[in-house]
Amino acid sequence: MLHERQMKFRQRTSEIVIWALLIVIALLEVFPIYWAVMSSFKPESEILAQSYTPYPVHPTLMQYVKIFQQQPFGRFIFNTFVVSAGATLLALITSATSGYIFAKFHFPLRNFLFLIVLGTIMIPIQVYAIPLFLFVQKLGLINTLPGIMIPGIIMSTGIFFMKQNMEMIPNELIDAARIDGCSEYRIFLTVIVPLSRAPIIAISIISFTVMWNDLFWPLMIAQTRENYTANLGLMLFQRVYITDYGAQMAGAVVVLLVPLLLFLFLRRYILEGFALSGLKG
Amino acid sequence: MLNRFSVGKSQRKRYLFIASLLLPVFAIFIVVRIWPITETFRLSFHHYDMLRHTETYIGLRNYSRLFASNDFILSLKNTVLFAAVTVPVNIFFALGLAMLLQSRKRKIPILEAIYFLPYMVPLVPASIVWKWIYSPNGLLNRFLETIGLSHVAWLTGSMALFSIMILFVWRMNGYLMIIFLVGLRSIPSIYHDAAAVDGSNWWQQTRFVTLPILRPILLYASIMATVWAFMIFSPVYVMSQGSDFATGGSVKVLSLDIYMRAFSYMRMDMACTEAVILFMIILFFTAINLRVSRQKSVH
Amino acid sequence: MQRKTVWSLVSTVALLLVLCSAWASFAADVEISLWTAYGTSGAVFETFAEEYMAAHPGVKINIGIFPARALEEKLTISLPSGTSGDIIEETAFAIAPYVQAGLIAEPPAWVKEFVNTSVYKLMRQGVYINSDLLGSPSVAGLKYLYWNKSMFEEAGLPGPPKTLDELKDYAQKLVQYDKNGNVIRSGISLRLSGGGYGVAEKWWMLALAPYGGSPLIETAPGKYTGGFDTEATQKAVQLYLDLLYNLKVDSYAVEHGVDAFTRETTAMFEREGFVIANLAKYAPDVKYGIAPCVGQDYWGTLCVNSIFMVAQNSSHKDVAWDFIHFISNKQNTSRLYEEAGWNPVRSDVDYSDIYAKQPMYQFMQDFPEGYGAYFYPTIVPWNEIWIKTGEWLATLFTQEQLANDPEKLAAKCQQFNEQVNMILDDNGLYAPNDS
Repeated sequence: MLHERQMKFRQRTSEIVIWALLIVIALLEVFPIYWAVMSSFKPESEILAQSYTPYPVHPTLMQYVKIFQQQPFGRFIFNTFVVSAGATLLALITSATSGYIFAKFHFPLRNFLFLIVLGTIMIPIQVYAIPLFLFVQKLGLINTLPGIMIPGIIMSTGIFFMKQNMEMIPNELIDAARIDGCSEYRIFLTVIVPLSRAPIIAISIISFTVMWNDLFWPLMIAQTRENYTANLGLMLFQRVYITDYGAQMAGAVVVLLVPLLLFLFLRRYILEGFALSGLKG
Repeated sequence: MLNRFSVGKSQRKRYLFIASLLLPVFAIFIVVRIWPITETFRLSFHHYDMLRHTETYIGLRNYSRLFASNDFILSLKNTVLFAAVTVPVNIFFALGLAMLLQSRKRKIPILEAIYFLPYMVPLVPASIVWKWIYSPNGLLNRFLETIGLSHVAWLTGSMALFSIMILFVWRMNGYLMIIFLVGLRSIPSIYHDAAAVDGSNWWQQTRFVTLPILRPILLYASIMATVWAFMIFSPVYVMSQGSDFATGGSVKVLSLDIYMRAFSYMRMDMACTEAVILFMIILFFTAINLRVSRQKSVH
Repeated sequence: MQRKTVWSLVSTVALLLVLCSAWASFAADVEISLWTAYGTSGAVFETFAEEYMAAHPGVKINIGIFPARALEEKLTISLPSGTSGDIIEETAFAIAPYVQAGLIAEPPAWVKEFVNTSVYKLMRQGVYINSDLLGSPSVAGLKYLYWNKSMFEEAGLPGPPKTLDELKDYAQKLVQYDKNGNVIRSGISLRLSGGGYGVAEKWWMLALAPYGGSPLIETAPGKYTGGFDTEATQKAVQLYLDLLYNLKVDSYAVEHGVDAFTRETTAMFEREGFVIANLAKYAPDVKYGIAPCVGQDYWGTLCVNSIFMVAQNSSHKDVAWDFIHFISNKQNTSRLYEEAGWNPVRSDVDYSDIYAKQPMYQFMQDFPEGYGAYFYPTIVPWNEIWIKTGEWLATLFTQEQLANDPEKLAAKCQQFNEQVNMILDDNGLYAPNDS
C-alpha cells in the first residue's frame, strides 16, 4: 500500500519537474526573439531610458519606418531574396539532375565521382573562399548579385539527398516509361521530379535558408550598398558611436522574419525532410 | 540497377543523357568547389602579392610564419576551446531535451516548434539581439541587478567567448534536438517495453537500448556540431563591430582570423595557409568522431 | 497538364530572377562615386552632391558610406581590381600600400597650392607619404580631453589635468563606487576593448605619446624597429593597469567612451571633436569642457588627416577633382564643420558664425603654444601591426596579475615587440636599433 503511494508520489513529482523544465526552457528559448520584437516597436525614448518594460508602453512603427528610410533596407531584403531564390533554383537543378543520375544509372567512375561529392559536404566555405573570390574577381562579378550566388549553385548535401531519395523510386516505373518510348529527359521531368516533391521542398528550404543567413561570402563580394544583403545591411546599423538599438531590433526582426515564416508554414516539410534524410544509418 | 534492355541505341541514348546533364553539373562543381579547394592548398605554399598579382613559391614558409604568430595560436586555442565546450553541451542538451519530450505520452508540436525556433533565426540578427542583451546596461545585467548581484562584463575578456557559446548553443540546439527526437521516435516501443519487463530502470534502458540505436544519429550530430563550431564567424564578426567588445585576445576565432588576414592585413596567401590548417583540424576531429563511434559498437 | 504550367512557371521565375539580378547590378552611365567611412560627413557630402549635380546636369554622384573598418576591407578588394569608388576619403596610413602599387592617381597642381596656402600648418604633414602628395585634405581628427564640469566642481578640482600625474590624482577624486565597491562612475574612461585598432589608438593618445614613446622607431632611412620594448611603452601599459587595478578608477563592467560621457557615467575621456555635435544632440544638459590632450614628457595630439584621393582606375578623374574642389571651398568647409564636427583643414576661413551657434567648437581651434602633433606611420604593413597591437593591448589590460609585476610586463612587451619586428622583416622594413 505504502509502496504504491510512494511510487505514485515519485511519479507525480517527476512529472511536475519534467513539465516545469520543459516550460522554463521553452520560455528561455523564445525570450530573445520576444524581446527583439517587443523592442522593435518601442520608440527611441523608451529604448534610451532603459527602463526595460517587457512590452512597449507607446508602441510605434517608427523604428521600422526609420530603417527603410535611412538605409535602403528594402533594397537589402530584395537583394537577399533574389540571391537566395536564384541560388536555390540553380541548386535544385544541379542537385536533382546529378542526384537522379547517381541514383539510377551505372557508368564508369560513378562511385568515384559520388565519393568526391560526399567528400566536399563537410568542407566549410572559409576553406576555399579565397581562391573562389579571386576567380569571381577575374570574372568581373565582384559587387554583383550573381557573384553572391556563385557558391550556392552547387549543393553537395542536395546531391546526396536527392540520390538517397530517388533511389527509392521503383525501377519499374522508369522501365515502363522507357517502353512507352519516352526520352530520358522526359522521364526525368514527368516521372522522377513529381515523385520527388518532398526532397525538393526540403532542399529548397534548406538552400534558401542557408543563403539567406550567409554573411561570410556576401561580406566579401558586396562592395556598395545597393548590393548588400540583409545581413550586411543589418550591420550598418551598428554605428560605432551611439548604437541605435530600436532600429537594430527592427532590422533584426525584419531579417529573421522570412526564415521564421518559412518555418512556420512549411514546418511539416522540414521535419519530414529530416526523417527522409540518410539518418537511417 | 541497370535495366535489362537491348544494348545499343537505348544504351547510347542513356549515356548521352548522363553526359548532357552530369558534365555541365560537374564542370560547375569543379569550378566552384574542387578547383578552389586545390587552389587554397596550392596558394598556401606561395607568396601572393595582391596588388601586383605575382606569385612566388616559398614552400612551408607561410606555415612556419603562421605558427610563430601569436594571434594565430590564439585563434587556434579559442576555436578549439569553443568546439570542445559547445559540441558536448549541444549534444547533451539536445539529447536531454529530446528525451524529456519523448517521455511525454503525446507529442507536443508546439514545444517542438519553440525549441526549433532559434535555429531559424539567422546568426546575424541573433548576434545583434544578444549583443544588446549582453551590453553593460543590457537586459542580463539589469536582471542581475534586480536580484542583487553585480554586473558582469559579458562581452569582455574571457567571458566574451563564453557569452558567444551561450548564443551559439541557443541557436544551434534546435536542429540537433529535432534529429534526436526523430531518432527516438523511430525506436519501436517494444524494445523499451521488453527492457521494462526485464526490470531495468530508466538509466539502464537508455544505456543499452536507446543509445546504441541512436548511434548513427549521435555520430551525425557530433560531426555537425563540430563542423559548426569550427566554422563560427558571424557572431564574432558582428559583435566585434563597435567599441563594446573584446576582440583579439579572447575571441578571435580561426574563421575571423582568416578573413582579417586576407582583407585587413592583405595576406591572402597566409589566409589560404590558415584555411588549410582549419580544414585539417575539421578532418581530424571528424575522424575522431568516427573512431569513437566505431569503438562503441560492442555488439 | 500540370507539368506544362509548372514548367512555364519555373522558367518564368528563373528568367525574372536572372533579369532582376542583372538589373540590380546594372550601373548607370556617367557617374562617379565617393567612398567615405564617416556617416555624418557622408550625409553632408550627399547634400553637396545634390548641389553639384544641379549645377552640372549630366553628372551623377553616388556617396558610398561604409561602416568603420569596412572601408579598409573593401579597398583591399576593389582597388586592385579596379572596382573602387572614384573618390576615396581615407587616411594616408590606410592607403599606403596602394600608393606603392600605383593605384592612386596623382593630384592636379591646385591641390599642392591649396595645401601650402590654405591648410593649417599643424596638419600639413598628414597628406603626404614621404614627399608624395596624396590628395586634398578633407577633415582632420585632432584629439581632445573632455571633462565634466559639474563633477569637477563637486570634487573641488580647479580644471582639467595637464599631466598624467595630475590625471591619476584627479581620477581618484572623481570616481564613484557602489556599496559593493564596484565602479559605477569612472574617473577616466579608457578604451579597453573594441574592434580594429581603436584600443591601440586611444592608448597611444592617452599614454604612450605623453611618456615620449612611439610604436615604431626609425632606425635607418625607411627602416624601422618596433618601439614596444622601450621604457615609455612599459610606463604606458603600466598606467592603464594602475588605473584599472591599483587605483580602480575604471572597470570593465561600466560603459566607456562617448556613451559613458553622454550618460554622465564618466568624468573625463579623450576623443575627437565630433563628440561636441553628439552631446549637443543627445545630452544638451551636460556641462562639460574641452581641453588639449594630457601631456607628461611630451605634449601634443595625434593628428589623423582624412584625404580626398582619386583612384587610378577612375574614368572621370577630372570630374572627380572638380567635385573635390567644390567640397573644399570656403563655404562648404564651413558647412561640413558645422554638420559633422571634425576639425576643418582651412585656416583661411572665418568660423565665428559657427562658434556663435556652438561655442564649444572654438576650443577645438585652440592650439596652445608648444602643443605638437604626431602622425601615423605610412608603411605597408601598418594596418596589420596596429590591429595586432590593439588586440595585444586588449588582452594585456585584462590581466590583473600584471599590474604589480613589472618584470613580467617587460617580458610581454619584449615578446610583442618581436612579433612586430617579424612583420616588419616580412616586408623588408626591419633594421635593428644599434644604439
